[in-house]
Formats: sequence, C-alpha cells, structure tokens
Amino acid sequence: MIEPILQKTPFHEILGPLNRTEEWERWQGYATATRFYNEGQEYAAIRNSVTAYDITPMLKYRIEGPDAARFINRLITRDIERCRPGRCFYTPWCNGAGHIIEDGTVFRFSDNEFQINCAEHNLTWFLATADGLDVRIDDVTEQIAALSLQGPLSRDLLLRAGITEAADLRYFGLVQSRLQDMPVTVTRTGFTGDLGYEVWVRSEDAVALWERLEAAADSRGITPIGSIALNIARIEAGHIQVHSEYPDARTTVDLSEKRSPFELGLSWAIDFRKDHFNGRRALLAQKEGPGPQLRLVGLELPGRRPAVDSVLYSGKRAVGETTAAIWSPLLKKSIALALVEAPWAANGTKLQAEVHFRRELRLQRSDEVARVVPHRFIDLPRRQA
Amino acid sequence: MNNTKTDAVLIGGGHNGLVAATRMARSGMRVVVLEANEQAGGAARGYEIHPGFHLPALAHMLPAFDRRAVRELKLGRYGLKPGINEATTVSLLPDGGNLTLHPDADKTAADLRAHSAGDAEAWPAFQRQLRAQADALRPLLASEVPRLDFSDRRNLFALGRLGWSIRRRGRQQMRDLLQVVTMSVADLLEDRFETDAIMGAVALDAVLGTDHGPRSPHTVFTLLHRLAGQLAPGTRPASATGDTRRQPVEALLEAARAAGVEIRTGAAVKSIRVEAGATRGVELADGSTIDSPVVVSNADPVTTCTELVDADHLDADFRREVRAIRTKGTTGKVGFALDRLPDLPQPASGGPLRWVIAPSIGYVERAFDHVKYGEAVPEPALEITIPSLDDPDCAPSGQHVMSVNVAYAPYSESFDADEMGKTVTAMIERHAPGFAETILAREAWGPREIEARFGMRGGHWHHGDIALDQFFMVRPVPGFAQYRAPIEGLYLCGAGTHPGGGVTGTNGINAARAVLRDRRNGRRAA
Repeated sequence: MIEPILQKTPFHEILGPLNRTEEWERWQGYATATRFYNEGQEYAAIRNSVTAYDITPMLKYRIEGPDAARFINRLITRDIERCRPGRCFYTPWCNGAGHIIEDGTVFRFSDNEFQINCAEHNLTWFLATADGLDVRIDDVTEQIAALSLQGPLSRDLLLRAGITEAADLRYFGLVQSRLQDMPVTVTRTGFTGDLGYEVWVRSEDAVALWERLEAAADSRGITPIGSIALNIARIEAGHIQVHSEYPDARTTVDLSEKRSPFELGLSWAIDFRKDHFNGRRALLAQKEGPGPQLRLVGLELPGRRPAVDSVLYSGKRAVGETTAAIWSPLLKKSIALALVEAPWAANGTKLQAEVHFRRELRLQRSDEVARVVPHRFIDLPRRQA
Repeated sequence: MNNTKTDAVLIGGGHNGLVAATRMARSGMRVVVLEANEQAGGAARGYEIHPGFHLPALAHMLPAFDRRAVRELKLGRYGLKPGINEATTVSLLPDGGNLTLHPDADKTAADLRAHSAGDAEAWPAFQRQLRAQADALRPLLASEVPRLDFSDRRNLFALGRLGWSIRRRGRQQMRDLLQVVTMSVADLLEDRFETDAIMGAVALDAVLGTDHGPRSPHTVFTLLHRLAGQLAPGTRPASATGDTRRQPVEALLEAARAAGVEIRTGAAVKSIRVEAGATRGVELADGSTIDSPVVVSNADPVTTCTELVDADHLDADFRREVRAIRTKGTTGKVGFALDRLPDLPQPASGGPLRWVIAPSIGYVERAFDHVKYGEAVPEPALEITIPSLDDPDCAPSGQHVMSVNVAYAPYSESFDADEMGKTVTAMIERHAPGFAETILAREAWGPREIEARFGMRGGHWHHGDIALDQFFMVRPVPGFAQYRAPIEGLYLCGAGTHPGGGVTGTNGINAARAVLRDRRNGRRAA
C-alpha cells in the first residue's frame, strides 16, 4: 500500500475532526485546511473575534553562532542591527541580481540566536550565504509547531490562557514565556492586518497548546480558519506572497518574471547604509536607474466579481495584470493586487480590467473600470495598538 | 614601502598581467605589478633547469600574440616576433615508424597514402573544414564578449555584429559549426578516417591541457579553440625561418618597464581590500599595503574571488558559481637538459618541429581513463618539443633542452611526479635509443607542482577548463564575462576570463580596455 503523500501537522488530530468540509490542500508537503466550514464565517471571525491558523508547514530555520548576525546581514536587505533581541522584523531577501527570492520574518532571541520563517525551502541558499562564517543553520520546521491567533480577541485569549506578557507585547515584539510548564514563544506577528499573535511550541506540545487555549477560550471559542479566509484577509492587508505577487528568483527561468523589491513596494525594506548583502550592488544600480518598470498597486473595481487573472488595459495597451483578487467583506468592494507598468501605477489612474466569469457554463467577460489605489487597502489601528 | 599609493595594482606578473599593466601605464596610469615568484612572466617565462639550460616553463608552443596588444603596446619595437603559426608534427608510432603531419595538407596527404588512400583523400578537405570552422569561431575569441542586454545600443550592436560574423558564412556552414562544436573529436575523426596514427595525433591536439578525453563531448570545440588561436592571421608561415624566436615575456617585460610599470617580484598578495563595495587596494603577505582604486587580478577567478576577496563582499550566488568553475588540471610537464640532440626523426620542415606519442584515439582515451579516477597514467600521450632547435640561446652550443607535455597527470596527493618523469624518459628512449644517457637534468611536475609554482588553481593551464559551458558569455561565470568582478574597481585579466588560455595577451588587453573605459566614464559600466 502506498503511504499517504502529505504529512499531517501535529495539530492535525485536533483540526482534522473540526474540518467539516474535508477540504485540504498542499503546503510544503503538509496537508493544510482550505476551509473548515464556511470561509465567510471564518473571515468574519478574523475581523471580529479570534481565529487559529496552523502555520506549522512554514519553513523555520534556527540560526545560531558567533557570526549569526553577520550571516543574517549578508542575507537580508534590512539591517539586523536595527532589530534588538526580543524583537522580530519582516524582511525580503534577494539574489545577486537584486531579484527577490522570498520574504519572511526574522526573530531575534538574543545577540546570536535567530529564527527565520518563510514559505519556501532556503537551506542551500542560506548555507551558500554563510560561506566561511561561524554560524549554525538548522531547518527546525519539524521540531516546531505554530499557531497563528488572529483577531481582535486574540490578546484577550492569550491573557486568559495565562500568558500575561501579551498585555504589553508590542507590534513585532517577541517573548519567550511558559504556558504552565510548557515553553512557548509568542510573537506579535501575522498575515491578516489585524491584531494577532503567533505562538510557537515544540511539536510534541502542539495538542496540549490547543487544549489549553481552547480551555481558556471557554464558551467564546476559537474559530479555526482555512486558506481561503486567510487569503481574503491578507489581500485586504496588502501583504505580498511568494508565487502570487512574485516568483522565487532561484527557480524562475524567464528573467522578465523575476521581481525586484522596488517593484513590490519594498524600497523601505532595503538598507543601503549597511555593508554588502546579497544583491546590494544590483539593487543600488536599480535605485540609481530609471526606476522599476512594474509596480505593485491596489485596484478597486465596481461590482462584486473578483478580477481574478485579469489583464489590465489602458486604451488598447495591456499595461498589467492582477495577481490576487477578492470581494472584500470589510470594504464591501471588489479589490485586487496587481502589477502594473510604472506610468499607469499612480493612485487614481483608471484602467480597464477584463473580468472573466461564467454564467452557467458559458465564459463571459465584462470590462470594468479599475481604479489604482494604495495596495494596503485597510489599516486597522488595533493591528499595532 | 609600508604603505604606498598607486592608480592600479596588478596581481600576478604573467603575460596577461604584463599586457594589462603596460596598456594602462601607456594611458598614463601609475601601475604596480605584484609577482609572488622571484621572476615575472608566469607560465610563459623561461626557467633554468640546469646551469646554462633555459626552458619555457609551461607554454612551449606559442600561438600568435593578440594583434591589438602588439599594436597598442608596440611590442614589435621590443623584439616580439610574429608567432609561428604551425609546427610540423611527427607522430611516433609503436612499431618504430612515424607519420608526419605537415602544415601543408597536400604534403601530409602524400605521406598518408602509404597508410590509406581514403585518408589521404579526406585529409585536405578535413583541414579546409577545420580551418573554416576555426575562422568562424575566431571573432568570438578576438573580441570582447557582449552582454545579454538588449537595452544598451552599443551592446546590441556588438551582439548583432557577432551574430552576423557567423551567419554571413552561410546557412550550411553555420549549421555545420553548430553541429560539430558539440561533438567528440573521436566521432568527428572516425567518421572520416581509418588510420589510427592520424586520428590519435589530432585527438591529442583536441584534449591536451583540458580535462577531456577524445571521446568526451565537445572536444571538437576544444580543438577549434586551439586552432583559432594558432592559425590566426598575421602569423607567418612556418617556412619563413631565419630569426631566432624570442619569448614574448622578454618583450613584454621590456615594454612594461619602458611604459613605467613598476614590477615587484617576491611580492605575494594576501588579500584584496574592499570597503563599501569598492576596491581600496591590496594587503601583501609581508603585511604592507598598497592603496589603489583599481586592482586587476591575473590570478585565476576562483583564487581571486574566494581567497583574495573576503566572502562578505560578494553575493552568495556569484561565489557559488565561481566555486563551480572546473579547474582540475590534468596535464604534466617534464623538462630535460640534454647533452646532445636526441635521435628523433627530423623531417625537413623549415619550421618548428614537435613530436607526439598518441598512436590512436584509444591510446589517448585509455590514458584519460586513469586520470579521470585520479590515477597515474602508465602510458601517457606526449607532446615533445626541443626549444633549443629554434632558439639556440636556450642551451650551450651543441646541447639541448626538451620540453614535454604529458597527457595526462592526475591532480592527486599521492601522485609522484618524478615517477612520471621516469615513465616519459623510458617512452622517449624507445623512439630515440641512447636518449636516457644524454640527460643532464630532468624536472617533472604534476598538476600539484604546477599549482604551487604558478599559483594556478588545480594546476590548470587555462585557470579553468576549456569547455563550451565555460566559454564566452559564461567565462568565468555567467554575467561576468567583461573582466569586471562584481566589486567596483576589481578586474580579472587572467586565462580564466574570455577567451581562455594560450599566450595571446587577449585577456590582458581586453581587461585593460575595460579599466580605461570605466576610468574615462568616471564610473563603471554595469
């Protein structure tokens, strides 16, 4: 008999029975829930109560050693010296040509201990970057289980569970605490643009973590969410994602498909004040050059149909395409993230979007006027408060 | 001299380093050449094997020197003679006989008739074809490599010109070239000939100095690469004799001094100093430093980019590509000082002679099998020259020096180079009885000795194997074929850059041009 192909995360014995739809999808070799019951309700819970999303399949790398900070500064485009112990930050990293490989979060536990979290395998790239340095890089994905608790009641849940540090944990803060006898790391991070935390435990503690959180939530409950609801929230928040807004530069054959951080609106995350890092030279040339040809923008469209895979026109000229599109329950609008040629990327620019949909089985097209807006569609004060 | 300042530092005083240094100095730059050895000249210089006996260190067959280098450095004024384009090759056969390959194809064909009428008929056409294909390849070797950048007009023009130089030869020839460059030389030869001796001799030319056997793919390319250098226009036919040859290194040293280049020998460089992405100079092994905004490295790309430059200053993917350059040397070298001329067959040639022991494709391939697995080769293929025949100054009157390239010798710690010297002596003794008794001195180097002596990584003549995947736009690594390392002010000028090895000076002149162009523009081109 052939073994099941996809691995189950340590939360599976809890989440499996909760998944009423039995809809699962692949994420780095793991089965991850697409939806548990109804994505609308799951999304509503993100914005109104507290939700749990199993982020165990995310790649987690432990970085330790005397040269750990030096390694990280060779790798990322931001300056790790601006991230104190007990803090995390978001950063992209690039190849030598200044094309983005991935973006992720870096946790700084101490001067010489870090964790990098991302969606794709990066070990060989990290090892190549660490060439000659006294640093240990371990893939600890299987040793660490993690839950993303997102929603306005997430802080309340952690406090009820007894993680008192959550009370004054600042945005992108990190704390190593205990849940009774269980060591937990809590970071104030997330992918939803809402108040939220990520809780990291040893894999063998995953089930106990869930049980304790559930007990703390009591009748208020925790809503497990799947990828569809999360995607709605992340598009509203304007978070980019590998394989959606940009490809991994290492595996992209067509040069024109590779994206630079400048195109993705990440110029703020490139720190030229620090010494050399992967791609610095190329990025400096990009910065001094005529500017990116494409830009990541937000689009607002009339109607309820999401402009999935839409080509964007200015007159007869195709000037861009959407990378992700949803109907936003919060804004009550059809919105999309899109890559658009620079001259058409200014806020307020009106483009024609070819929106395809099916009426019964027949493929239909409607041309909608899409208005360019900032790609961070929402800015909830509670996210950072 | 604890801390000096200059406009440019050259690491390595090999021929390309001297060419680049002289070219820059002639444009008004103050240039310091740092040579780790006690003598500049690298693998192209001579060395004294025995009192009064001088021998070319490695390069005993000299292709034509780059015409731009000759012109811009006025090398003719310093005694550089035009290269001699072709030697007469005598293939020594196991039965004691021999087969002579003359520069003139018809003459060779006449000799071949004794072996095979078919081969005699095929040889001139084969030679014409090889020459045509080498001609088609030559524009790639003679020029600087354009970048794959279609937005820059000048670059686009260079790409177009290059494409046209091949395309204008006609559809058929272009098709032939594209087909043959990927073939193994064994397949090419066996398709046309039946005489082992002729095939073995050509096969050796295709693989000598590379990490390939005659049955390895794209060894037709390595053959054409060699021919394109040797048969360059401007070389004089072999029959025009009368001059003694002068080692190009001597002319280069003289030209360099005349241009005001400072040459420091015994000056090993420890590291290249980089600050904020820009070259600041070098630190020497003795602890002293030289400040310079430009550093041109004649060392191989792997040594330059992984040992001399700290990894902090380079992108991880660039370093990984550099590390992946194949630099395994496979060629040994044996030098002899001889009391008298060995009794080797000497056909009347009117030009330089060389002898080869490569009696068949299988012989060369079997020799390669050993080196492939890091073993010493019991019966290697040899290329033998007697430099004192062309340049009597090499040895006292009536006495001689002999230089032998050995295909193959492994790059391995357990390899005993002296044992190889004995093997080679015995092999030559078989064809020239009495040879062993005339030896006054013998020196044998395997790739490790060559590496130590000349600082060439892996002991590879070409600082990186010659192969289609290490040629042109991808030499030394993709995206960096324009002599510029990805650090402001750092340049490469050695054989590891386009167009590869061979004492032509092309790499050096191209690198100097890149430096001068950047200097003129006030900043470097991308």
